[in-house]
Amino acid sequence: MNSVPPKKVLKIIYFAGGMVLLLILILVALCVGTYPITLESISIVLYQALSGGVITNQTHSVVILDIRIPRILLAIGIGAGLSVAGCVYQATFRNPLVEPYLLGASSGAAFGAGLAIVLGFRIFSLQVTALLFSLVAVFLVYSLATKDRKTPLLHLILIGIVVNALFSAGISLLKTIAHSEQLRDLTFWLMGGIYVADWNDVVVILPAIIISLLILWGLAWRLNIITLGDDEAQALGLDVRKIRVLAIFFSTLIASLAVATVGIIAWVGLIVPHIARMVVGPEHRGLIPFSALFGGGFLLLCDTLARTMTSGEIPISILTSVIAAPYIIYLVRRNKAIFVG
Amino acid sequence: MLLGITLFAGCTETVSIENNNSKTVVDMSGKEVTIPADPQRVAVIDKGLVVQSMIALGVDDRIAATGGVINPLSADPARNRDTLYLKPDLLTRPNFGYAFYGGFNLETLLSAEPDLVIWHMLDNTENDDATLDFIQKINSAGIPVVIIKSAGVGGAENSIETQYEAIRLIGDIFGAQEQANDLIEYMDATISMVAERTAAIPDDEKPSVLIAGLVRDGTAYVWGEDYASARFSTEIAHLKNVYSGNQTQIMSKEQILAFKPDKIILVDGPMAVASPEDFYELEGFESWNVLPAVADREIVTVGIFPWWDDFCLEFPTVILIEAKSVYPDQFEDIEVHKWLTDYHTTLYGINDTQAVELADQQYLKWVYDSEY
Repeated sequence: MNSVPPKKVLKIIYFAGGMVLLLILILVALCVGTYPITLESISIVLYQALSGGVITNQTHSVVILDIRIPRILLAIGIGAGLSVAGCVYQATFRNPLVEPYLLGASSGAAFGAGLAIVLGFRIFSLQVTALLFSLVAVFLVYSLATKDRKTPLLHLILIGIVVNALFSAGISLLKTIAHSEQLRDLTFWLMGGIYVADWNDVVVILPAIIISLLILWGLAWRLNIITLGDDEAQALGLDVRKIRVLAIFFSTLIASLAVATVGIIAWVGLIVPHIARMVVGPEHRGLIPFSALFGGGFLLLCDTLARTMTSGEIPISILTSVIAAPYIIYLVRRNKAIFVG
Repeated sequence: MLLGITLFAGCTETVSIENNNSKTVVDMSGKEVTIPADPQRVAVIDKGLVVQSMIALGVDDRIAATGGVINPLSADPARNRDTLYLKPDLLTRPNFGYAFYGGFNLETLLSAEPDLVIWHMLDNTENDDATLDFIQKINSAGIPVVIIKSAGVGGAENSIETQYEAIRLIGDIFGAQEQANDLIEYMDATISMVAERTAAIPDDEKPSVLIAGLVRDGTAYVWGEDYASARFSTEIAHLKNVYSGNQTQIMSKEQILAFKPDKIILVDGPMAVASPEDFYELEGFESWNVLPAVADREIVTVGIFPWWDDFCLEFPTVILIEAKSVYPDQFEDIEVHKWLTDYHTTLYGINDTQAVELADQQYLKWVYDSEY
């Protein structure tokens, strides 16, 4: 008689537990906020929305349906996306300290946002401008690092550092000519924040992130082989270059979409894959969905704290950094090859 | 009466004449500074208060160079619009850079051959290394530096009196004390009028007011009742600010909805609106429609003011618009558009048409269009 391997059962249990935790977080995020609404009122709003009934309290409806729910969905989607992107980057570059902004996605997006905020240069909108510049930055890195149809990893990293520096210089220049409100606006944008979330963002960004996540999940077993090394992967019949391009492209797309929408959110793409790896190991077929689950929950938790801890908004990168920093120290001091597992 | 006493309290001896060539003034950091008796070439580090005061006192032709945020490289001169309208050739003067990041170019400053530098402190950087270093370098070139401060900056009292002190000091510098005092008296007439008319309104009859600078997508910087120039609104116009505290915070849509303000005053922010009507058509702020202030169309904008705590010479304008918007019954007899024409023509010696054009630059033309 066939039986499910115990390890697999354990992973299923962990995943189910993670889903329950995420659902609890969603419920908490729905219920807490500066605008006081009781659980009963929230239930009424949701019931009226789902049943198409008459809205009895317009303000409650706006707070729940137009403010909190889009924000919750965006936090989960972006958290999941950045975590998976980070996980894939770490596999592709065979480096546990890599995150999805390595190839210039964040600095390119920041420069585009800076152009929009300071110079008023917008291609349709600030988000689109940031996205386009983010993709341009990564395209630049990849093109410059490719020679004779080969793209050595080291070249990618080095060119990525250079392009990051270039766009960072551009941001600095924009800051010198910006006036006070623009400076403040740009500074807050750079620190990241999901407070701008609305349904327009959700319907555009989330499907793109979900599709990218599914494609990356589809590459999972190939990523397992790539982590063995290029020669080994090729010997096993893998088109390493093609897989790498696909992996980097869709990971970068997620990172670019995320940065363009909510600014630069630090550490999620770096830390969450490690947490997921500690739970389920380095095998990417399980690692990717777990990274998505943990990343979505982590960012939702941080965003809920960001909007409720004070009367104003705390830039979310402050919270992700404060929470992640001790864990990084722990990782380093633990000195264990957890990347390989 | 209290305002009158404080008005003239600053008229103690702040100037001493040493000889025909020089005199000593006490600047707003408390230092005695020896300056030319009649400065002819002045380098101005300013947002707008100093330049506009010099225009009002008729000595703006002595501006030899500019620094700070009056910057030809600035991508958005919107915040200098009115100053540049009043003095279009301002940006043709040599510009020696932006103080905030210690990015002054001393050579450019010296090449303009100023005999005096007037430094309007933008923020609390008076004692920063970069600031002190630059002042020391300017002094070592034999050029005195006089510090002017905005209300609440660098220890300066956060009150209208600080604005008056700044104007008075500028008058002292250029030997135009009488004109400066006349200017202050003229401005204070409106300030006192607003204070008197709103002082007796019971607290439970005051509408709640949100003072905010728009950012985007429904978010805004909300000004606390004790924050910088919002304090003037509280103390002089007796507004009931929804947000207590001494800071400005970026707030999300939900946080703003939680305030449920009866009135909204839009101040300068990353997203400026030229008129209250423009707000109702703004994308991204639809969630605000549930606010009583928006539903009842109780929104006003005070244009490009205050900008970084600097009202320039428009603090009577801002306070009057705010007071009338919140307590319309107390100001039924005041037609702001007529008052504004009188104010600008008196201050700057311009004609009525130019006064309207100036208001347009300040994003205050709406008071004319709506005959507010």
